[in-house]
Amino acid sequence: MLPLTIEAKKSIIVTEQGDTVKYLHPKYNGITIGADLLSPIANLVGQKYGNYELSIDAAFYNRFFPVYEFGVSYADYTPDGSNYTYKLYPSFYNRVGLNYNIIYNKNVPGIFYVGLRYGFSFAKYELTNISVSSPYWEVEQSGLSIPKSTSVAHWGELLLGLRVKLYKGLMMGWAVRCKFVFADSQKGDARQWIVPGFGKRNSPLGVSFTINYRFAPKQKLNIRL
Amino acid sequence: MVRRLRYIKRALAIIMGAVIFSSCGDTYCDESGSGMPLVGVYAMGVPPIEAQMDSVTVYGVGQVTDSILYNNVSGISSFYTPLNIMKDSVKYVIQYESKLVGETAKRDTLTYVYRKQLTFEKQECGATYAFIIDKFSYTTHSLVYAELVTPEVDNLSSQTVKIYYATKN
Repeated sequence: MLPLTIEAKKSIIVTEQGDTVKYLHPKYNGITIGADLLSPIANLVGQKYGNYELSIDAAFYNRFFPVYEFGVSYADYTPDGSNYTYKLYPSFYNRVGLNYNIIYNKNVPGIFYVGLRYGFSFAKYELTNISVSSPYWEVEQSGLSIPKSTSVAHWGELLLGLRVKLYKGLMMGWAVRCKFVFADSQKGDARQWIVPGFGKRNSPLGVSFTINYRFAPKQKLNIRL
Repeated sequence: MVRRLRYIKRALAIIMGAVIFSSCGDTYCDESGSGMPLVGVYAMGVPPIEAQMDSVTVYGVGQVTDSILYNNVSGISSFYTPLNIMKDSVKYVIQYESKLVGETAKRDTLTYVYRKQLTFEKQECGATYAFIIDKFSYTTHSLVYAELVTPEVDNLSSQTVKIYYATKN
């Protein structure tokens, strides 16, 4: 028999001594670092663009997780049926935001969260191997290029994610991201298509698959289970 | 507090749904690729009215196989005149008959002098040429007047040139 009751409506936990505490977990729950695996895996099976990304977050009350994500994007990609190769020079990006663990007062080996992100990046890119034709005039040009363009982009993301404990501090996570560009500048004749940290700008949905390690301080729960 | 968080969660769900819905519509691209001047045909009058062509023939001067772009086509009130990406000027011959403007079939020419710029706007459109028409001229054997509406030629369906014919009456 458990020596406590949890009044879910009020999020108040009552210990066996009759004390009430708001949170099951202590104020500070450690730091988690992570790496996105999806893009490297996709590259192994032939994808010609992607990100290498790391993240770091801190946990407070197992509820709030301020997070910083950073990485580098690249592309050397000729889409099927297209008349160009899109080359994105390795470009850095950053995201800051917060994850909110919906099940913060559960003693489960993981978190289920919604999140917000603000991302920004600077990119250098160019288009090469361009071929253009005038069908009526029966002429074609090939080997054209649009030289380097640059762009600064800002965007936001909404996340729904899950992170589960595998062994000790080792965790694995999945997240679905809904992304929307706030603004991007353009210097050059090509509009940015693959935005570092955002992906293809015409693909508002993204998925991340991460491996994480949590460095947690040795602390006790606010109650004994 | 819990109620407030519940509202926040609902709001997040609604925002997420709205963003997904609104973001997925950003894929339009006209299939014409590089821009082509669209010529609208009008009958003179106050105001001018769009003329349905009974029979029109259009071809480019110097086309390597003497291919005709529109050959005795009827029922259209506008037509495209593609620019040659290997040159900086093109000339089109228009032979037009209409019950509205008379039965004559005299030939007129439209001449474009232009610059081109390779651009990339959307993945769906690919790399395309955008054109700026620096000079536009025409003959008046059959048509009365022509105007360059805009020097910028994009791949949308707005008219670049309007040509006007006199009506029978």
